[in-house]
Amino acid sequence: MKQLFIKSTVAAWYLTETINKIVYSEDFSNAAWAKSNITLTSGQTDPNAGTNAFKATATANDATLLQEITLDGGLLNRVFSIYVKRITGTGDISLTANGTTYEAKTITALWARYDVTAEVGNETINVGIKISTSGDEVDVAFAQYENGIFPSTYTATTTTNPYTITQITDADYPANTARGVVFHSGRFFVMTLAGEIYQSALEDAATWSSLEFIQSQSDPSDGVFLAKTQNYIVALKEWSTEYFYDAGNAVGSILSPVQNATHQIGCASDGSVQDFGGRIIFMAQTRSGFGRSIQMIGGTDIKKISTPNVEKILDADDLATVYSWCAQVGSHALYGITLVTTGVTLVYDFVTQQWSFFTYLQTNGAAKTVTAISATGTVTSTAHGLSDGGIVNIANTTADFNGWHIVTNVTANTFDIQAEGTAFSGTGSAQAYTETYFPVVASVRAEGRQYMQDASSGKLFEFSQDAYKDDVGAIAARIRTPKLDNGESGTKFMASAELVGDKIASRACIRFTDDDYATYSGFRPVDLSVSRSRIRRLGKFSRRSFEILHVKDALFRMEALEIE
Amino acid sequence: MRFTLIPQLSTKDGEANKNARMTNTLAERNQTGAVFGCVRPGLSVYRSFSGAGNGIVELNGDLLAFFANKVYMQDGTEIATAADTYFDFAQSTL
Repeated sequence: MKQLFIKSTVAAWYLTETINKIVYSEDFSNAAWAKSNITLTSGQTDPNAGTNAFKATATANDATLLQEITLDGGLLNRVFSIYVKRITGTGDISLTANGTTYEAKTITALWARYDVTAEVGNETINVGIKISTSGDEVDVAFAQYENGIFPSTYTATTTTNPYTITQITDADYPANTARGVVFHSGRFFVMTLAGEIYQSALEDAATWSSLEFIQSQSDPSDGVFLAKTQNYIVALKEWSTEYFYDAGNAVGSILSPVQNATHQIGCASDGSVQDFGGRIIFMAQTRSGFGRSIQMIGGTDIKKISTPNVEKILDADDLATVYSWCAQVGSHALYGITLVTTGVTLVYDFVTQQWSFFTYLQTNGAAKTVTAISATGTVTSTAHGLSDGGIVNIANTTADFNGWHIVTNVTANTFDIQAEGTAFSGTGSAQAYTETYFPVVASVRAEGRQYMQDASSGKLFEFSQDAYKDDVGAIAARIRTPKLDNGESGTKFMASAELVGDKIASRACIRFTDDDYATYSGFRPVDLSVSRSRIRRLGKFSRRSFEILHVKDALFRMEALEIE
Repeated sequence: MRFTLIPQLSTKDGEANKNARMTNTLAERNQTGAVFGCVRPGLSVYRSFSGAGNGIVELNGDLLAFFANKVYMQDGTEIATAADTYFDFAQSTL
């Protein structure tokens, strides 16, 4: 039976899923079983000499005892099995594995297990037993429905929960382990902080031996994470990386070290480690000097994927709390790492080999009262406290103005938003938002969806390329260009700057800096739906960088900035 | 004069809020080979639980979500109690 090994650094469990798709497999009186012209009498002697069997008495012809099951996994052979013993009568007793076809069985006065098979796809069907003749009686017990042709060992079920979780209590299971667990060659492997790699018994997560371990050998530093790539088990330690393979050793661990495949590169943070398609990605460090990087292991090859600029950001964090995740969405294959102390999330796209930041919007202070909005989008809000480029959600005004905007043209009691309409007067609200790190702590693909887990809020997200906003209502998409100087530092004049990209019913804002990102111009709105999405009269400059910001719920996709 | 809008992340001193970068924007190439900066995929709430996120894992096509010390299926059904700590996972093949 397939086992899911679940471990923290101080304890471990394993979870198994029953193969029996019937619920309440011994309690035919439960509402999960539909009784048609059948009366049940509990407490009958069952095949195990207990009293868990039921007597089923037909009160009319073609009486049935059925359970509805919803199946997945596509078209498969399925088998229904049940223990039956005839009490009275001679009429047909039939079983169905697909809800439509019944197969008569020759039932005797002794307990026997009968089964019937059918090819069934992703359907909701009724499976069970039919008594053809009114007045006939049989005892029934231990129903089971599973994939396959032959019934396997019976597994009792009660509730709709198909899973059983068991804590590992074997005294030989290590008390403290490093992060990570590996299944390889039929065994589970964990690593202690001392770098000892222990193995479970074959196909048995519950059983461990104190003698079945191998010590990682290249250096004495602490074990950080145990991972797997191809057919190698990889021990990521504080200052080294070692590889092991299944040598089939008869005594002790089955593992032996892979000679000449040790890297003197260690793992800086266990929270940074991810397995993505058999490749291991992690934040690395070396004894030879301070400096972190993001490395990717495939087989015994190791390759740096971080850039020097990314490494400066890694170096600046204390690594007190680090989250990481991988995701495959649309054309993007992503590795994300969040440095909570610094408050940044760095994301690497394996497809484009490009790094970017991910942020998430959160409220910033209490909402301010809006008393008026002019037809051209000037908001009156006394002492609003917002600044140019701030992100705000306007609510309780009118459909013309409600929604997400970038604050521009700020005075003490007014600011502009990117909307026009019928002037509003009354009581609305302006909620300011600020950007924080991407809150995701884990990600996995299941049932065709990319799920992501919030670190603290209890939210389970779907990460979808069809959503252009986060659950808070918006995404702050921002692009800041390198400094543009046309290859020479002399003074130049700029007539206009145009955003070249998809035409959408939305607006972005553009600002620029001429002093090496120290100060910026005010943000100016640009309509992305018109033929020339541009701002004009941009003055003189020597070296200039632009910043484009978009917060609307729209597919923002920009190709270039065209300057005249 | 036309400039691409796909800068490689840059910083002089490790400060995250300076210099060239893309934020919540990913590079994409269309059928003609043009490279775009495109807003990242969004996070939609699929289901709400409570407590710290302690890991998610796929098992036989089902999603199992660990929040605080509880284990849930993706339909919200609570299936087990474990511990309130972050978990790692591995699956056997049989």
